[in-house]
Amino acid sequence: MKILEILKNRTGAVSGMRVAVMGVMLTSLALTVSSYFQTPEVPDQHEVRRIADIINQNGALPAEYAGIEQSFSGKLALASAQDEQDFLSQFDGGDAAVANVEAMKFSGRTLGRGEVGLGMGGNEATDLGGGVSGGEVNDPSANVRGAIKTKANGQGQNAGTEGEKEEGGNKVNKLTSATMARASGGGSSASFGSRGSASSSTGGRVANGAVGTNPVSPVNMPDVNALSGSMPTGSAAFVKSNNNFRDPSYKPSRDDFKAHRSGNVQMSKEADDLKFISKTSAAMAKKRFKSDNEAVTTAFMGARGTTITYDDPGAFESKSSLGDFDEGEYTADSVEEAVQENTANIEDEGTKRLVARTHLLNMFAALLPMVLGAFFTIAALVSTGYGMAGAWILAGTMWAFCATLLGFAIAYGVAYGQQEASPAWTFGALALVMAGIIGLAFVDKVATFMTGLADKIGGWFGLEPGSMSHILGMGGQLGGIFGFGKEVVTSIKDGSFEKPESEE
Amino acid sequence: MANIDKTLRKVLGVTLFVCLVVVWLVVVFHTNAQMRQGERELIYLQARQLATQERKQRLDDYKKRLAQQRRTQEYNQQSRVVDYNQ
Repeated sequence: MKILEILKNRTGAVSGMRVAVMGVMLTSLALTVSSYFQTPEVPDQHEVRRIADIINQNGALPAEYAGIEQSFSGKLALASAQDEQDFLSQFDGGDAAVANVEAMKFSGRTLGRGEVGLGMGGNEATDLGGGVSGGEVNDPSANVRGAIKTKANGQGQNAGTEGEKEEGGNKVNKLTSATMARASGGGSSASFGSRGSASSSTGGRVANGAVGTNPVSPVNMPDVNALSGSMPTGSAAFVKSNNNFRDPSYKPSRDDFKAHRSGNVQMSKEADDLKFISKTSAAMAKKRFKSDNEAVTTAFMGARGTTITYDDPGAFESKSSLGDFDEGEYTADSVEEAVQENTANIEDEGTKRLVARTHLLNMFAALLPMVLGAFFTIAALVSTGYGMAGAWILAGTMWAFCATLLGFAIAYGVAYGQQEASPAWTFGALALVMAGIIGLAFVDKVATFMTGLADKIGGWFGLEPGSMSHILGMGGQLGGIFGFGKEVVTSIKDGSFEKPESEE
Repeated sequence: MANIDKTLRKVLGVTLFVCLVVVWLVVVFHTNAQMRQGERELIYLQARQLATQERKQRLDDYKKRLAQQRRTQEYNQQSRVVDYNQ
């Protein structure tokens, strides 16, 4: 009560504090709002050049970029592709999709980072060097490694030599392409086959990935000089065997595929079947032959990835089918269908997330009438003689209630795994709390103003002073509570806040 | 009692003010950190893009070179055939 008395009899010190509060809060609010809309400045091009050189030289990125590289490994492949065809067109010709800086938008605020990723095959020998040679590749991968090592020595024309030896006389020359995809905790992503993305920094997480493959041009072989990358267990390697690879103009055909084991993924083209080992329902993979003599495989990633097994001749069985890929046999066509289905599932999931976000926003919005209602109630209490102490108690209670609800909404957002959204929610919550504190600092002024306003409106209807404040106060609070509850119920009903299967 | 009230007022005011300043600083630092991170991400993305473009360029150049060599080779072979026939 002592504090209430102090607050009730506020003097100059508190008034001064109010001014300080106002200044600080307004500044913070301005920063909060601006930070949300602000975009990073145009980066220093010298720095861009420096990092590009490091990437070109297969060198290790500085620590601050290594973290980014890891976080972006699944998003670069998104590039600026508008659709699958666009994506594939970028992939055409054996070049990795050129990451567009728009990917940042794509991966960040628009969809939520990594909500849906596209995995694509690494196509350059450098990718292979990082992707395959790291030693996670098991037995048959000796061929892979051999081939790559040979290439790494700059002897592109002799690629596969070591592989032949290790394979015990099998004179199949190999061109290898490998990539991996990984999924970050909060969402789905896939990598494109960059050397960096296959680096050891992503070790272990690649187990969730899927892959794509693409013929490798021997032209890149001399570029391979760093074999320090690793392909963590569970990642995938697709091996392309090509008897005619020495001919640079040769375009590998489907028959050139051969299986090699690499973690979870095997792929071979000795039978015209595919075997899927789906790790999660959200994952999907797609194999597509663009033409008879050119094979392109892209892997569309879900949250935790999918592996494709393209296995032994004639053998066609599903070792496991944990996701949307039903257990059973697949032909190239049925695979296509399954992929389409899973694509739709992922799209659904993306939509679901957007819906969930909308629910959160609505919950947030429902707090506003609640707050307004609280102030009207305060006004009513003031005008009917309860005094500021009662008003403060009520205001505090209301704000505690609002803060609880807000925390509830934020917890949902965070639990849902929208890492990108959570800072925004944090800022939003902060802004609301700040606004509340400002409101409290001026509670008597606000209450007086609202009393006058409500009484004036009530006068139009012939109500006694204070009655309209009560009506508006109760109405606002009930409306806010109702709105918030409705959003909660709706979101629970439509399952918007259910944890994605991929994250379970 | 009046002194206690006054002290309490001061304590309350200063505490609140300090809290607000801390919040404000957190917001400022967090915002700046986000901006820096965003800038680094942009640098990385642009660098990756640049590197990829350069690789592609090298690949294209190489293909052109090979095609030229092949044409030259074919031309020379034809020339030899012609010479042989002659």
